[in-house]
Amino acid sequence: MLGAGTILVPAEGIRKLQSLKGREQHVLALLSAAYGTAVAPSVLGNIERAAKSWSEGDDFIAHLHLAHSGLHSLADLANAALRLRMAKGALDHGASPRAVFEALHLDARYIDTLEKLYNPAQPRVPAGHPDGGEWTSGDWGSAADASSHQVLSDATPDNTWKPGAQYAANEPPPGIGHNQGPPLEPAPEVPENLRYNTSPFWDFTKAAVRWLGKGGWKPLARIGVRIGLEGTIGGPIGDFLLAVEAAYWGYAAYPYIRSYFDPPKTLDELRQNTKPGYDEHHIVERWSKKDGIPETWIESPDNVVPIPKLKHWEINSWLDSENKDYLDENGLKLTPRQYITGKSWKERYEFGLTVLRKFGVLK
Amino acid sequence: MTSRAKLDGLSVDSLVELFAEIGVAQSKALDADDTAKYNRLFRKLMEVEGELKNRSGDQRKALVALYGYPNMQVRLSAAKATLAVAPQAARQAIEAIAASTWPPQCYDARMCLWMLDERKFVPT
Repeated sequence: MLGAGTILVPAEGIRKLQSLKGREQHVLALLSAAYGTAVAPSVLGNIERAAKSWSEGDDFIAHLHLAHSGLHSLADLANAALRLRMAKGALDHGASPRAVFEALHLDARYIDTLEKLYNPAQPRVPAGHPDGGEWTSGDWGSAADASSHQVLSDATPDNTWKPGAQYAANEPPPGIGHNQGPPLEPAPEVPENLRYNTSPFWDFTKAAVRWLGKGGWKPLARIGVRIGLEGTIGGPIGDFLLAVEAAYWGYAAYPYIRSYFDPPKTLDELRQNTKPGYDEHHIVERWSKKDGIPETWIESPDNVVPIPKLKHWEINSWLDSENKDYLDENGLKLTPRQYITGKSWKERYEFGLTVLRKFGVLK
Repeated sequence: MTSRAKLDGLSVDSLVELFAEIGVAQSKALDADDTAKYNRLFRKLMEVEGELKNRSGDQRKALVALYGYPNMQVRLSAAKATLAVAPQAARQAIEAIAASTWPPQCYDARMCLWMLDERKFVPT
């Protein structure tokens, strides 16, 4: 119930609300009308979880879920009630959620992406295809057609790719096609259910940051702002971010996705990083104690710095990968980790700082 | 597949094709977070590169054709493999990858440039 008797989600029994499936846009339209702004789709997950707890008699947990929605008390009750009443009236008389969103002057990209997420008329992958039955995007469908990569990306076509061309580092706008790389593959499929801190959770989150990085995504907002705002950038990246947010577990993945795209920081700034989203990183790695480096040096505050967890993972993978740039005195190819073995503390520390810089962590 | 005897019998074009094929497989191994597989493929890639180097006139220069390949790992490997035979073009290709935000190849490209600039890595 919202405002003066506006039913957000009808009940179908004592302490049992109807599912939100099929009415997602309707609910978001009412909430957006009440708040006078675009309400993030993740709120639907909070409502679903609250309804479930409530139906199980756990009112306390239900309230916690609603608190996690981040929806605050309405600031201007009179105007909010008026907007809500008008929106409710319009919807009851057959207006579409889109009409309500448009009347509220919400960003067209927000409206379009909601329709893609929740519109049953959205095209599906044909039956028989490995992804059959899953929602798909018309844009992504065309990505599978090599002849239509231009639809997805305006990057320089591969056959005319010029070595040394000026790349997108010069302030590209966010979005696919501004990274000048090869054609971008379709976004990783967003699973419906994932448990936090399981292998599938991390597999998806890693794939997500790599895909977003390849798409040239740069977060628009500061830490703490929800994905919904980022989703308004539209296009496949906006669709993907909204899909992550719409997944009920998406809120758990976002700090890790977001921190990966932190701008480079000074060591002092990095030390302000707090969990979730960050891991303690040793500039001279911990294993170095087996290589003669005193543990007190390794664990000293100067050597330990919180960095984005998924950058930490990228660095670890790279350090363990054989690389032709790293040779021993006999010309044998090494991993960077093998290359640094036996070096002095100073060399290791300088190397560790360089790695952080080149991975975009350190200024 | 990449035993020395088999590589001996391949044309330069086939070796370039094989180089790209291995690069694509490496890219998949990176995406799957499978470093062991990536390293196994790396050794195969080095065999192919070595075979091209041993061909008359150092045929690594044929790998320049892969600078525009539709896979970033292949582009990076081709650029690194040609640093000794086409230093300027290869460096430009690596700089382009380094300036992109294409993970994880952009990071390796940036480290490669640093190693070159510091003279810690001298291509041969």
